[in-house]
Amino acid sequence: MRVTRSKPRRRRGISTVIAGTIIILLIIVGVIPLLMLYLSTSQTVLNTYNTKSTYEELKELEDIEANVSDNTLTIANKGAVPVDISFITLSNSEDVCSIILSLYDYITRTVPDPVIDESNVMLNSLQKVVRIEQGGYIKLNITGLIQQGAEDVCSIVTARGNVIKVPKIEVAQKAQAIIITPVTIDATALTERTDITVNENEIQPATPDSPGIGMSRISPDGTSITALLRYFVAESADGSESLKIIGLNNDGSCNISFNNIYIGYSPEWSRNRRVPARYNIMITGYEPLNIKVSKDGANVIIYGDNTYIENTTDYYKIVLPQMPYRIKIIDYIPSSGNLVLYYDRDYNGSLDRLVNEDALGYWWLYSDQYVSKDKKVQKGYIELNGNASQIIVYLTAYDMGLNINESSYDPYFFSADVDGNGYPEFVFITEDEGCSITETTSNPEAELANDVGHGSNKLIDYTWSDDWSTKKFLVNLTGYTVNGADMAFVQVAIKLYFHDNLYDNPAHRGNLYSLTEEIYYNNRPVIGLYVVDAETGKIVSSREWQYQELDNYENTFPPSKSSVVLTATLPIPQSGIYYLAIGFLDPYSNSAIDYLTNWECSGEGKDDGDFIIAIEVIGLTYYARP
Amino acid sequence: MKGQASVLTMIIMTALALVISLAIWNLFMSTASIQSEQALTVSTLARESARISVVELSSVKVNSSNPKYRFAFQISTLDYQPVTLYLMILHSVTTSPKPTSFTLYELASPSADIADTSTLILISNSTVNEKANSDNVMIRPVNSNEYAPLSIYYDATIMPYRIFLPGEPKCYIIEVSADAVSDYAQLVILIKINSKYYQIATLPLS
Repeated sequence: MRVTRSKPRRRRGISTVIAGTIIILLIIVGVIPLLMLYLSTSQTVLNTYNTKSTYEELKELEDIEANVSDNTLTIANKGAVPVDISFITLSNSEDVCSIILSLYDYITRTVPDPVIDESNVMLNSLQKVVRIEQGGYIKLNITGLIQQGAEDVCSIVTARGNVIKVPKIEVAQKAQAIIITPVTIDATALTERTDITVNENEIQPATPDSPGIGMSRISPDGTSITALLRYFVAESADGSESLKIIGLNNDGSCNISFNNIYIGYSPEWSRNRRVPARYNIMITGYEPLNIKVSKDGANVIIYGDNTYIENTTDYYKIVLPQMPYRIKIIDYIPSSGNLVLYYDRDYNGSLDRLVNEDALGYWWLYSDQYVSKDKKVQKGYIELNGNASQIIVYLTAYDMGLNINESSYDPYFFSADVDGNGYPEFVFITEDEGCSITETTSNPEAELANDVGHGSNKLIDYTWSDDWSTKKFLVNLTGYTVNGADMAFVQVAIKLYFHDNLYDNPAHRGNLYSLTEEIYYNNRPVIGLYVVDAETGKIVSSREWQYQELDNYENTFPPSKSSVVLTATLPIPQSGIYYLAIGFLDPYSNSAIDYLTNWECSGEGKDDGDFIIAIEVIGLTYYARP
Repeated sequence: MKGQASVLTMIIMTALALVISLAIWNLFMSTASIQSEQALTVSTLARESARISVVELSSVKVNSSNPKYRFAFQISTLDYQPVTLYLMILHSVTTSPKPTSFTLYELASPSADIADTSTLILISNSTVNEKANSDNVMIRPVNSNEYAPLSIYYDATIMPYRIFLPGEPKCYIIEVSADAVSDYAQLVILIKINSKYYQIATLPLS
């Protein structure tokens, strides 16, 4: 009985278990796919989210810089991920950024290749993008686009959708000045400069065999046109200061009287300032001259005959009678360590002894003949005893017995740091023996000229020497060109000293007929600034300063000068390449033949006037087009 | 008899359990199917919206008797893979978005001024437009994370432009009336999933 009772109970239990198992299995079969689907969907969404995050992060990490300068577009990848450039946008003639350019197509289709430079750049032909790796850059010439009507680059577009604005140079920003390093000019190195060009015929050594062109002067006796030429040149073989300059004084020095003298530091020494100091000296005189130059280690050239040269075993002795001369002494180092100049600085009749820095400057005597008896200036002179690297003596061709009526500017150019500020002056000098003044007893000021022994009613310096330009000398700053498409104006500032030998009485200026003043036409240009077309050489814009403008900056006697800055703002044509040129000339007595035949100075072409124009620095400021 | 009754009871219970299980299984599978389709749609939308980039490059106003604006925009796929997109412009999107007609161009040359139609190529709507019932156009109204059929606001047939991107960034230009632009217009980028069009990106036109 126990057995028969227990079997159904066991079967019921088994069937329940089976039924439960089936139910559970069915539930599992239904739930698991659903659960798996849920998990799969979640995973997909998560992956998509991650992908989206990655794209967004990559987009955020893009960092490119772009700028345009001189028609060159530079795009640089400064970020941490490669950047694919797809398009750039440009502005049209109405300054609307409406031009869309495929950068890939521009690079691959443009002839010639617009790529100026690149680094880590790849052209992706599949996606038609320009890929710039991290740290890479590309520089593109966009001149062709501009020629097709595009005005400026507006933005750079990446394939990830970043639009990077290219900084637009606003008018105010573009108007910012670009200051070029001040340009200094050294006369001795003009032909070696790569940034400056000149007419070499106008700067070449003015030798009798090849005198060059550009300048003429009247002969000392006023009877013919002649030229200032090299007569004696001594230079050390190796460019060192091995030339010995001595004289006949007991201490071996020589005194050279001058009518005017210019003393400054050697330009090279002025920049380095290594002891001992070296000086460049230019002496213009008339009094007899005795100077000895040692032969040891020297290359010596004597032009013309050697009438005025005594050739001894050890020395060349230069003995000049009273005649106009000019001497350049380069890299002079005084043996005593002291450069000594004797000059009546106060015009009180006694000579002051000026040493070293005190002796630097421009000094004029105009000889005692021009000073009243009560204020008679003694002859000033420089005491020379030392070494130099080069000595050049100039005489007129007339005094050398040569019939030459034109020379280069060589005798009239000189470089020295006269004010000791580190910038050498480029000096154009035609002043020589004296100031241009007439003798007349009716003019109280003319008491200065009472002692003149050249007869009455004569322009004194006519009887001595007068220089003038036959051609304007141009210093072409060809190394500083400007593109008219970019720049609208160039402002030029020139720091200079000016002095003339024209007596300063405005009441008499232009009153040549009464023989009380020196020039008739006081409006002739003396210095000018010119904008020159680099292709044609044509002057397209200019500013010239007339004598009467510059006259305000100086006093002829007692001599004084001012350091002035002349500025000019010159327009630049809208296209083409241009450079700046500076022109000098001495425009007076350039019709000398007239006054040779009409000595009474009664008409046009009888003007006289000599100048010093000393240019120290030239500053150029460009103003960009808006 | 008791034994037979027990067996019968067990059979009935088993059958009942089987029926219930089948019903539950069917319910689960139905739910899973719906969930699967929705999940597929969601994941597709998420993927496509993640890899599509649209950005405006430029815009100009075209002066004529009927003032218009032209907008240049770049569409690119961030994975450089192909995609087919549909373009539509809705105005008044802040309140009652409605489609507005527009003209589609592409660049005729590597360099083109969008202000000058001579440098553009007109994309004819007769070749690329699709007819779509607004019930099947799913947009995302302002301030909503949910898709809603466009028919809520505009119950009619629309014709979005179909464009195909082979993988490279492309520039398109749309021309639309100035009135629409002034009325809060947006360029809407759509993709098509199972005969329905889903918004994946927008670009305000202003």
